[in-house]
Amino acid sequence: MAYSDKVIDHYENPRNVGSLGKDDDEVGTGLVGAPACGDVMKLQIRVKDGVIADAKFKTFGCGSAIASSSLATEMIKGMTLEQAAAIKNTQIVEELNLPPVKIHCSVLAEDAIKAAVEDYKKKHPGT
Amino acid sequence: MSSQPSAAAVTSGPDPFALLDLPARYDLELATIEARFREKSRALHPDRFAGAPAAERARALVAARALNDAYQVVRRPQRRAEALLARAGLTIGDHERLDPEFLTEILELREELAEARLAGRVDEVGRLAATMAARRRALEDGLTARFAAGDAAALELARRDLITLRYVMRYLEECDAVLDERE
Repeated sequence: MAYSDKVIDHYENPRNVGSLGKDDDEVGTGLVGAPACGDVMKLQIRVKDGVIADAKFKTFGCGSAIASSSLATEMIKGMTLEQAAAIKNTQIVEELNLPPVKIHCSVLAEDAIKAAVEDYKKKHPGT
Repeated sequence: MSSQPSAAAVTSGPDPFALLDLPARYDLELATIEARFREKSRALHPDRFAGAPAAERARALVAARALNDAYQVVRRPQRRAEALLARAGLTIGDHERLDPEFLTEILELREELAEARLAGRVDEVGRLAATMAARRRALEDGLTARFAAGDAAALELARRDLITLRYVMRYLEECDAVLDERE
């Protein structure tokens, strides 16, 4: 299958690879998996004054899954939690030009963002 | 950078057990499956249709392919189990809730594998692969009892096991890929 240039760019030069301390009070961690392919994706956010100041990811999966999570971390930096949680997988599909068989990779990235936001909110009830 | 989803295992085509004239059950001996496949393929071998009309040759070819596909499903415990669940109307979706502890463990094991690969520690890759292969066998063996029970609760447990097994198989594929590039 042919990957789009944007997927290849994010796959070869993934942005924001790494980890943040998951027990850190400012950090929210989202960990999701895709049973269809056995891929796992971890996406973390560091929140300061209600805004996502930093985001990191680690994805073990195909090129599209890596590109989707790489792009997701770029998109959410500078966003509020509400803005980030409102991101739809279709935005990732469009940006990366993902083929239909790889749409589940973008869904995984959307789920990972939501899970990270949820985790942060669990640490900070009332936010 | 591609991953072959084993999800393709569950097909909605003709029943693979029926194609092989085998009972739809999990506890089938590999030797029995292989023998039945050979027997059935002989009847469809292209040599037997060398002088036959083109339409008949084409039909035999299609049937031989379907038989081979069925064999690929039935001979593999994981795919055989998924086919049995599909018969019972149970499938594995893209949005399964997964145990976070299990996901954390898989992520950590994938990290260990990636580090071992980068550092060229082939022994460690072999060790990780052996541990995971043992887990695969345990899951496959456990499925025997689940399918023997066969009730709704046991089948749901089998479905959960199969979700775990997909991650285990994916991990083993990754180990194989690393070991292959070292050879």
